[in-house]
Amino acid sequence: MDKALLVAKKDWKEIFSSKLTLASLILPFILPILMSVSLIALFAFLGPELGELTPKELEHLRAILPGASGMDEEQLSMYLIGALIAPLLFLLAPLMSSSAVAADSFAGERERKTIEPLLVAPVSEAELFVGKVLVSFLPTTALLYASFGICCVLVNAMTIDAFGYIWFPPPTAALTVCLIAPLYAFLGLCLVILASMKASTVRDASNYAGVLVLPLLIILLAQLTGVLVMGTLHVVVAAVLLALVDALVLKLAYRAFNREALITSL
Amino acid sequence: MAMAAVEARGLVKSFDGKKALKGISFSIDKGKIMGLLGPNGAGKTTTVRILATLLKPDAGTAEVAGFDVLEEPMEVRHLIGYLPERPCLYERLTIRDNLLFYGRLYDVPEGELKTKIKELLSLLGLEERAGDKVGALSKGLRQRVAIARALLHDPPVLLLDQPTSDLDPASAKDIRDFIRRLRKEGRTVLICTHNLTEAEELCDSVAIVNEGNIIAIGRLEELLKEPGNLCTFEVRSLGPVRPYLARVEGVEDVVRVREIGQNELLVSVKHKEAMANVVRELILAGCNLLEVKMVRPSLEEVYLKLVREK
Repeated sequence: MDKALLVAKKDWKEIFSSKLTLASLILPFILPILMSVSLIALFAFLGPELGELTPKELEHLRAILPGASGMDEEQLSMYLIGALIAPLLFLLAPLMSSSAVAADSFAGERERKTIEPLLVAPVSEAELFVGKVLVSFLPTTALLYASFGICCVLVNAMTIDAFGYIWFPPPTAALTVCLIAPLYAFLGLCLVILASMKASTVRDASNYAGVLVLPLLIILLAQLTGVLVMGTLHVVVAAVLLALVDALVLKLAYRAFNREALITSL
Repeated sequence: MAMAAVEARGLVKSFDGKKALKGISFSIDKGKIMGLLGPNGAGKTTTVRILATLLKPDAGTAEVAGFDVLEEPMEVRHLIGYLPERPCLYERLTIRDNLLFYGRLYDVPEGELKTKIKELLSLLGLEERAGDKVGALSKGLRQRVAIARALLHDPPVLLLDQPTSDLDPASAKDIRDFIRRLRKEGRTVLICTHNLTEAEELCDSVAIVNEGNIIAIGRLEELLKEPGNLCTFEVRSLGPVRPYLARVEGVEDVVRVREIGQNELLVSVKHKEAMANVVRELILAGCNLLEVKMVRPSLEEVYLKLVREK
């Protein structure tokens, strides 16, 4: 698999030499930090001025947030952001980032007409495929953990007075970000690879990962309305199921990946 | 008998039900240059892509340097240098980075690779530009880099798809000179081109492809012979040639006589020696001969004739 790493390293070199591609890799991770921190800051510093929650609203919040029992109104508001909104943002970030990079790596090679000599080189299809998967998966996963780590530090630093202890991330949020987010991004990446077999432009290919945003919004809505209350066990089970789906889609993408398909649709 | 470095036997390939190749067969002897000529869409690139293991034929087989393209594609890939129609280089990377990447993919030992890159860049006049990004290079320079990439692993067989298309005359000449050098080094080269002058200049043999078939194949001198192996001579005299037409037609082994100007004749004979009798007859008849020269059709004429006929 040395050659898979060679292919990945070459692509990383290309990514780092293009400000636009580098931006599409990094920017999606700045957004969840900014959003999470600013929303929590809003409640931390302006909480009392935002008006009081009705007893019914408080009851609803406690019902949809199993880890929030015993929290006061201000803490509950911040916990809502930390437990539901922030994990969603951190699910979206690697999905956007990895699909943009994967599309650039796969469809981009075809769009820029660089793929032909690469396919003639003595590299197996498995090596090429793994190399291209690593290009987007490794940096986005690293950026995910790094940005989430930064977010944790900032949120806890801002809210230590309100809570008196380190509360962020709640266990479900931590599991969601650390397990589900990379697996979900991987699913998006596999879809982009599948799309890249046919799509002739980077934009066409990256659009395919967009279909994965909708299920996330539905799940958030279900959680906010109390239809779905996720505990840590739910998250672990979801991660296992997602890993199975990933394996299946990866297999499909690998099957579709062949030299002839890539060259004839040029 | 020379060993064939490239051999294609009955290659058939269809795309979406449309036959791109209908049974292409040819072979190239080791150390020779063969030209694959034909109009756009004739099947040249498809043939080269099958030899380069990019496409699998629906029927037929091909061997490169003794390895089957279907059964042993990895061995074939190690032994070919491939120059696609476009340079296909990573524009955001430097020349050196492009070559380092491909050298490593082709398993060139790290110690040798840097020396090899230096050597090739120097040969192709790119030594000073090694650190430049490919995106900043002219078409001609990019083509040189692509040639360097094809030669990094010292392949015995080179597949060049339109190596000088879109290049200015000076760059095209440099590339042709370099291809000649490759032959001197004993490499086998297959060139796809529709530049007939280039084929005539470079190739030992040519195959003319049209609509997925080879319509003519052979050594250049064989293809350039007239149909029926006739020899044609142009005869110029100081005065009008018409009075001598009948005399020339009566000479043994003369097949055809045509007046192409007031003072010029085209005489086709069965063999070169018959022309001596024609010259003797003209002198005896009092013709003031100025020049007699053998005329052979250009590759362009042969090519156009064959393509139109088919």
